Amino acid sequence: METRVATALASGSVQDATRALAKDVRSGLGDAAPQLLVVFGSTEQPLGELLARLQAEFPEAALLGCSTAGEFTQRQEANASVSVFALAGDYRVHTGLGAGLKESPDAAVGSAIRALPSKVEGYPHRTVVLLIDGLAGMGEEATLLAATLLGPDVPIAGAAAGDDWKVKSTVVGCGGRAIVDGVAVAMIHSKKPLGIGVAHGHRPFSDVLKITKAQGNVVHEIDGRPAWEVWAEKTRPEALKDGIDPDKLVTAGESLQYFARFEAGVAVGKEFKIRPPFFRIPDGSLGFSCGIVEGTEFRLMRSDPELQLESAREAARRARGQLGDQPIAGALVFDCACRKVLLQDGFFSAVQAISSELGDAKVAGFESYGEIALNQQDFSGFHNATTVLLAFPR
Amino acid sequence: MSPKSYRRAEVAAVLVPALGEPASKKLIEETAKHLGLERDDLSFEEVMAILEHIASAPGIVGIAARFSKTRVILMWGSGRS
Repeated sequence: METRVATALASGSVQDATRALAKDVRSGLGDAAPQLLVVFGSTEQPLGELLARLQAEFPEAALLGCSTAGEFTQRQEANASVSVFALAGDYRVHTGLGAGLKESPDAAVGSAIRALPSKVEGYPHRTVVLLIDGLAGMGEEATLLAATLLGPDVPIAGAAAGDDWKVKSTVVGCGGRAIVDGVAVAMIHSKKPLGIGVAHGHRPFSDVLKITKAQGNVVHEIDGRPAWEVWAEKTRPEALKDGIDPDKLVTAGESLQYFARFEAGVAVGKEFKIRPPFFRIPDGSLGFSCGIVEGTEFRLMRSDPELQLESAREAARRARGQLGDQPIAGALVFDCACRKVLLQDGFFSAVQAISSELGDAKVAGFESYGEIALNQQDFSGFHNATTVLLAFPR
Repeated sequence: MSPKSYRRAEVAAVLVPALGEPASKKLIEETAKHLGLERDDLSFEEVMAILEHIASAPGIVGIAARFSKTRVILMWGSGRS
């Protein structure tokens, strides 16, 4: 059976958005019923209600979703809206949900995954879509725990939920239920392997800095001084060129957008793994999206619009490369919210570039607070300031 | 046939993507010393003992070691290719 993908984007009340999305999904899939709906909703459309209404529209489909910091399809990008990726074809999909990620990541990830079937007859390939709370500070932890439980033959793609830069509360869900501080998983059993692509577009601009005091996801000191003091000092000259003064950041959202411009790059071989702080703590410490180990050395990184566009294309090329010559029906796209900060009105060009690299495939996705991609050969799966794609062959 | 062996740097390399290079090297060095493993070349069982020890640490360090152990078993469990 040929894979069909429908994408849709709608705004307004949950009721109005659901009606419009359901209509567009049915129209896009024709006579095929969706096996999976992945739903990305802004803070304007409460996810629990959104999922419940969509589940009522498509009772046979597996539903997975999270809150966002921006939504898009291959046709448009928006805020205060909902994007949906609907998949129909030779797939079997099961979902799971786990709560209490921050306090007990083992239990949360375990309860989301353990009930999923490890095998479905006739569907030899498994791929997991993993959505996690974006503010729990457990990005890498949740990803590695999931990979440990799933085993090496299950690639993982996904992201950390957003909340429209409010930095207050992010939500994930499946079926008709949504929770804060959670993990939501969809296990896709398929006849053919799927393609995962990942790339970022940042380069270093500082000398090497060392984290000298850290606990969990909180970095207290860099080079023996309060973390924010060092961060602001080292980034100030670059920031002032952009017309931003780090001493005048007031809200949590302003700080987060600042960190989206200036991030830590931890050397991993010849490449850098990007790790931005997520919030400032009054004592001068910085909270990150995952655990950071004392002794970690990093350089400050930044990007520009050209690098951002190229990295979007590169992620698409890598996903396509995994699928050989097969035409692509569509792709889920998990794109760091920082891209919008860097590209502003040019953000949609990056989405179009991704669709174009995939042969004008349908894509739907959201702007996230962290991205997840882990293939068999990888020893880490949580990313920041990165584009991750999960491509489905036709 | 000589037994398979693995250098400490190779063992540290499996933790680097999650923990960064200096922290990973330091962890392996300190744990090897703690376990009385003075040589640079380690047997598969000694590699497992080091990762097992690190896996008991809280937070990202322990989680990364538990994950790496499962991948190392796959890569090296049947001996170096």
